[in-house]
Amino acid sequence: MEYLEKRKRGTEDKKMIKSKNKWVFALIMILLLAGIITYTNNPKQQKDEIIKIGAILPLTGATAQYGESLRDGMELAKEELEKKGLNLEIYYEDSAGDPKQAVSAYQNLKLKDTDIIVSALSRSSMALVPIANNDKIPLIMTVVSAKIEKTPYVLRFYPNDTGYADAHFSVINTTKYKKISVLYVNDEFGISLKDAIKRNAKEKGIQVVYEEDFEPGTKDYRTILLKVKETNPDAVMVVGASPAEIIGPLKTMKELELNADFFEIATALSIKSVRSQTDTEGAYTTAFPFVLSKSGNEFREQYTQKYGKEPFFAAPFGYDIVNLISQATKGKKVSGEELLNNIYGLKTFNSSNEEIQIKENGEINPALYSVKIVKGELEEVRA
Amino acid sequence: MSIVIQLLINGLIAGAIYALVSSGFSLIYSTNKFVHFAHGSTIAFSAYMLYLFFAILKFNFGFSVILAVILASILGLGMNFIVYRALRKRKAAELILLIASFGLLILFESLILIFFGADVKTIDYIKVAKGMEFFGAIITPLQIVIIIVSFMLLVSLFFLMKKTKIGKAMRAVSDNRDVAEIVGISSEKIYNWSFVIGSAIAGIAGVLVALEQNLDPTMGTGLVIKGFTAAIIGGIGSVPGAILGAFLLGLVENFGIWFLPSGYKDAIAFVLLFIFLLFRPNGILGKKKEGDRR
Repeated sequence: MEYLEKRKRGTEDKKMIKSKNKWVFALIMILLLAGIITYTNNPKQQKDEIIKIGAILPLTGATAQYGESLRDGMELAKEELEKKGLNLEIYYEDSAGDPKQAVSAYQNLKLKDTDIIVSALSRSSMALVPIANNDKIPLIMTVVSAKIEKTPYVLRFYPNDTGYADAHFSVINTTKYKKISVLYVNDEFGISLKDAIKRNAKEKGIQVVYEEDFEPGTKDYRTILLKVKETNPDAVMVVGASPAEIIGPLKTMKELELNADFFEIATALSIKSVRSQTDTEGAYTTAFPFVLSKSGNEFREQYTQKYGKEPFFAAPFGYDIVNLISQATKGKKVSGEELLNNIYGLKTFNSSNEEIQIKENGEINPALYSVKIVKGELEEVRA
Repeated sequence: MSIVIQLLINGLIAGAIYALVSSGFSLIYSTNKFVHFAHGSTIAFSAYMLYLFFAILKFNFGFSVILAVILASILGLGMNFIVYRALRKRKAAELILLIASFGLLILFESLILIFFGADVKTIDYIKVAKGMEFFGAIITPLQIVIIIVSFMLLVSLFFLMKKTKIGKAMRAVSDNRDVAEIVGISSEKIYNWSFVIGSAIAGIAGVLVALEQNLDPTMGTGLVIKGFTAAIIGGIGSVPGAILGAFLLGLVENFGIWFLPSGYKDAIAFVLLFIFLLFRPNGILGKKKEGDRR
C-alpha cells in the first residue's frame, strides 16, 4: 500500500514538474522574444550600424584655433546631415598639436571602434600615418602639408607642400626678387615647405641667401631677423604653423627696419582677425578660394549664423570632410577598404573651396592663391 | 660694432622680460620654499585681464593696467589661501605643493582658453613702429620701458628686502621659519605677502609681455620655465640673484643664437643651467647652506 501511495505521489509530482516545465519554457520563450524585440529596437544597436568618425584635433595649446574651427565645421556638417536623416557619430580627442598625445588619442578612438580617423596638423598627424595604415583604418589628414609618401589608407584633404609654395612662385616677379631669405618653423610642415620653396626658387633662378628655423611657439624673433637683415634679401618668406608665428616675425621686421617684402606661406594673414592684429600692409599671403569668396558662401552664412563669428579658414575643411565621408558611406557602417574605394569612386568633390579632384595617390588638394594685403583687404596677385 | 650693440640690446630686452618673471617667482620661493609654477598662469591671467579691460571693455589704458596688476595680485593670494594653505595645514610635502602648482597652471590655462579662445590676440595700444637708433642698434620705446621697469624692480626689491619691516620679516622666514615664529613673525602672514608682491610683479610682467608680444593661453608656461632657469642661475631664493640670472640668460641666449641656429636657443639656456648646477650650484648670489660639502 505504502509502495502504491509513494508511486502515485511520484507520478503526481512528475506531472506537476512537467506542467511547471511548460510554464518555465513558455516564460523563457517570452523573455527571449522580448529580448530579441528590445535588442533589434535598441538605439545602441542602431548606433553600431552608423558610421563613427574619430577626430584628433589640437583643441588646446598654441594651435588650438585650428582644432576649434575644424570641430565647429564638423559639428555644423553633422547637424545638417541629421536634419536630412543621415546620422553619424563624431568622437573628438585632443592632440594639443603633439605627436605623443595624437598617438594616445588614436588608441582611445580605436577602442571606440571608429571607422575613420580625421587628424589635423603635420606635427601630430605624421605620427599616425604608419599606425593607421597598419590597422587598415582610413585616415584623412587636414591642415597637413608635410611631404608624405603614398600610403594606402591615408588621404590628405589640404594643399601639399608643393601647392603652398606654388601659390606664390607661380606669380612671383623674378626681376624684382633676386635674393630671398627663408624662416621656417622647425616641424614637418615647416621643413617640407622650406624644401618646396627652395625647389621653386631654384627653378625660377632666385637665390636663397639665408635659411633658418625657429622652434614652435617662439616669441622673440629679434636676433633671428638681425641675421636675416645682414644678408640683405629682397624678400623674406616665413613659414609658421600658427598665426603668432607669422605676426611675430612681421612685427619685428618692421621694428628692425628690415626693408624686404614679407611673404607668408601658411595662409594665416588671409584671416581678417589675424591681419588686423598688427600692421600687415603690403605683406603677401596665400588664400583659399573660400576666403576670397570664390566659393563656399552658403557654408559661411550657416557658420556665421550658428557661431556668431566669421569662420577661420580651417572650419570649411572640417565641414567638407564630414560631408565627403557621408557621401562615401551614406551614413552606413562600411569597412575601411570599402570606404576608401567609395571616396576614390567619387572622383571629384564639390567643396567649400571649389570643386576638388580626388587623386589616386590620396591627395585632395584645394587651390591656393597668392594675395597681397592692400588697405587691410586681400588683393589677388596675378603674374 | 652695431651688431654687438644690437645683440646686447636684444639680450637686455629678453633678460628684462625674464627678470620680471624670475623676481616674483624667486620672491615666492624664498619664503614658501616650493616651486610655484602657477606663477606662469598669473602672468597670462594679467595679460588677458588687460586685454579684457582695454581691448574689449574699452576702459582707459592706465586704469586697465592697474586693474590687471591688482587682479593678478589677488589671484596669487587666492591660490595661496585656497590651495597651498590648505595643503600646508595637512602637512603636505614640498613635492605635493609643486604638483598642486602644476595643476593650477593647467587649470588657469584651460580657463583662459575657454573664456578667451585660442586665437592669437594683440593689445594694439602701442602701434608697431620703426625703432629708435642707439649707437647703430635699434630699440623701440616699449622695449626701453621694459628694461627700465625691470631695473627699477631690481632696485625696489633690494630696498624692500633690506630696508622695510615686511622685507626683513620675509628674510627671517626665508632663513628659518621656526625661529621667525618664535620672535613673533607669523609665517602665514609672510606667505600671503610674498604671494601678493610676487604676483603683482607677475602682473606687471604680464602687462609688458602682452604689449611687446602676442597673447596666447600658454604664454605663461614658456615664461615661467625661463624664469625658473634664471632663478637657479642667479641663486634660488635670492631675488636680486634671480634678476641678474635673468639678464645673463637673455644675453647668453641672444649672443649664442648669433653663432648657432636659433633652434638651439633653449639648448643654450639649459647648457648654461647645467654649467651653473655643476660648477656653482648655489647660483650667482645664492648662499651656501650649512652642511654643503664641496
